[in-house]
Amino acid sequence: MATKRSKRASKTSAAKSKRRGKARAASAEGRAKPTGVINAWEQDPGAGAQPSGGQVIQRPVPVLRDQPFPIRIVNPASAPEAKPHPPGTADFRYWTAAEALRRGADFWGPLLPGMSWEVGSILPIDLDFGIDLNAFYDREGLKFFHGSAAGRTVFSGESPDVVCHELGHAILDSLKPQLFDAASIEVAAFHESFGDMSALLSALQLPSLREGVLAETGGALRRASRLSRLAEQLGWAIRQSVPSAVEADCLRNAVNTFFYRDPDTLPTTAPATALSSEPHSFSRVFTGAFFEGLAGMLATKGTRDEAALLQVSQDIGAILVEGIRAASVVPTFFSQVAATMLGVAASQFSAQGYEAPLRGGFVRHGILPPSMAVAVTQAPTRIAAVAASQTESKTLPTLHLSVAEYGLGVASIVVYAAAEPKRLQVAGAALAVGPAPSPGEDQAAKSFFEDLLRRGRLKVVAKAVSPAAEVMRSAAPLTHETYTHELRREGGQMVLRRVRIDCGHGHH
Amino acid sequence: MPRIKEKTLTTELAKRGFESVSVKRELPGGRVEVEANKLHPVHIEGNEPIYAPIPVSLSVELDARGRVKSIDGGTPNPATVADAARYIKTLRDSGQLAAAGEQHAASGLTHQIERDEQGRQVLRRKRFSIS
Repeated sequence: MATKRSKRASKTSAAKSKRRGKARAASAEGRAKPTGVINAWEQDPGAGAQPSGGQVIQRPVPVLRDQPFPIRIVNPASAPEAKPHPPGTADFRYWTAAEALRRGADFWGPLLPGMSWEVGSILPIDLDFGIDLNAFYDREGLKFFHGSAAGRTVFSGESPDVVCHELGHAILDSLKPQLFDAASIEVAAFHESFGDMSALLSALQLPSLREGVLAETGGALRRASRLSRLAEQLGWAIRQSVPSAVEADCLRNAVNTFFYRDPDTLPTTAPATALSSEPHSFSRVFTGAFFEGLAGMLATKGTRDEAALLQVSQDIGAILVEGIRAASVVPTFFSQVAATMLGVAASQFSAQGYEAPLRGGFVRHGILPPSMAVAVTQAPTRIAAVAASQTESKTLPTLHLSVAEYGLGVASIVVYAAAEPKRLQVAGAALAVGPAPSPGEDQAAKSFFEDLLRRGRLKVVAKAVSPAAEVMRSAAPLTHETYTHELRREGGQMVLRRVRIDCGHGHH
Repeated sequence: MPRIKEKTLTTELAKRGFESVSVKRELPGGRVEVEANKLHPVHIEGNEPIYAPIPVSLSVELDARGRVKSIDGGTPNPATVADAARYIKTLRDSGQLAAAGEQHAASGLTHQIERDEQGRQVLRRKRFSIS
């Protein structure tokens, strides 16, 4: 069993390791860089719902001991010959893990200059710690396992997705050690999300994957693809014994429609199709928002080629790191990170126009309410306005809804409220007991309006009104409009109008 | 303003029950804003309390030698304690929490309840897992 070293022991050891590391680095400088190539999985041994079918690529021989973030594989103790080995061999597994580790460390290194591992100067890796369908990061290093499913042996350390997820835990532990032990649902869930984001961003450092995923999605990154699907083979293996524990075609998918809920209102466990307060399950809310932001950032590029995708992956990595640095560790940690990320995007990447797509992701997944998403980067202006109706049923009463906080540039709008008397006194169920509180008319109308904003279904057509609060939908088709409501000036009022009903299944 | 010696500050705050200390920023008047975890009793269903590391923010006033003069904040608020209680329940229900003295071998376990030198039950993370 792994035992946690004391901080003091760790630091002392780290200092010694640092000296040893320097000595090794000095001697390594005299050594020639290895040449040649090895075979590796591009992203996972599996493909979709299948345990096999992953892409094999050739990569330069990785040098694990190099900066940034030096790594050492301690099991197996010695490296096999650095040459292309066939999949299904231990030698192949060694080099595919080594390649993913080096690639992940090389991605995060420039974003965290001068930072070292929380465990010491070198991160130890055990590629086969025993039997399990799992992988771990503890404060000793990374541990991978093997396990059997349907007559097939699966090695978790063979999947670059799994390797870069675990590496992500180690990276975040270096960046913000306080998160490791913090007894908080969102903090724990964010750590898991960071692991998945690490897998995504590390995968995007491969030219072949960038080209492949752009071809697979037709340039619309928000579509589910081998990039968004995490750990297909491990997911398959778990699915053989517990089908409800994982997604239908992978372990977790960054393309999802999970919407933020107060974790206190969620069940503690749930099948993979639903959200629970369990950290891996709840992490999907942030990962989904992040991925949608990433897809939207690419969509802002004139040319959506692999070079643009590489740039976007590096930029969002920088935004993420700065967002985490500045975020306060509180129960609502998701929104803290999201808000600081928007601030970084607005201040450091304003020319690239990343703020709007990032905001769209966070708002559409409910991590930030629209008003806060706007407020974090700009002060709302207040202009009075009133409105009238033309097409709605005259039987529906109108409400003047205060919307100053959404950054629309108007203080209030007119909406047609569902304010008729209730015919049946029913309400949705609360998770604990009894019915959920029924919102008042104003609250229901505001909730509906905010929901339109979150889902990117509102188009602002009045010139005097700021479109800043519009939420970009990365999932929106390029060929036609899909918004359902317009905010338009009618007479002297701003009126919310439905313009279409969209029954599209793919447009979440 | 005294020079901030993070190691000294960490040691001093550890004596007061703060863990995972990180200096967020230096403030005027010899104060530093610090983030840390503090062990705080969490009551789950009337059982013996579990001391959980709860994130807190505190402002620390340092003397000329860089030693702690006074501390503002650092007490977990009710929302963070409720979050910790919910977290412990989630860990328990999803099979990620091992009880005190229980072997830490089962797949999926990420946390363990340990007895500290004061005899308290303390929640400790042992690892992160992929699923």
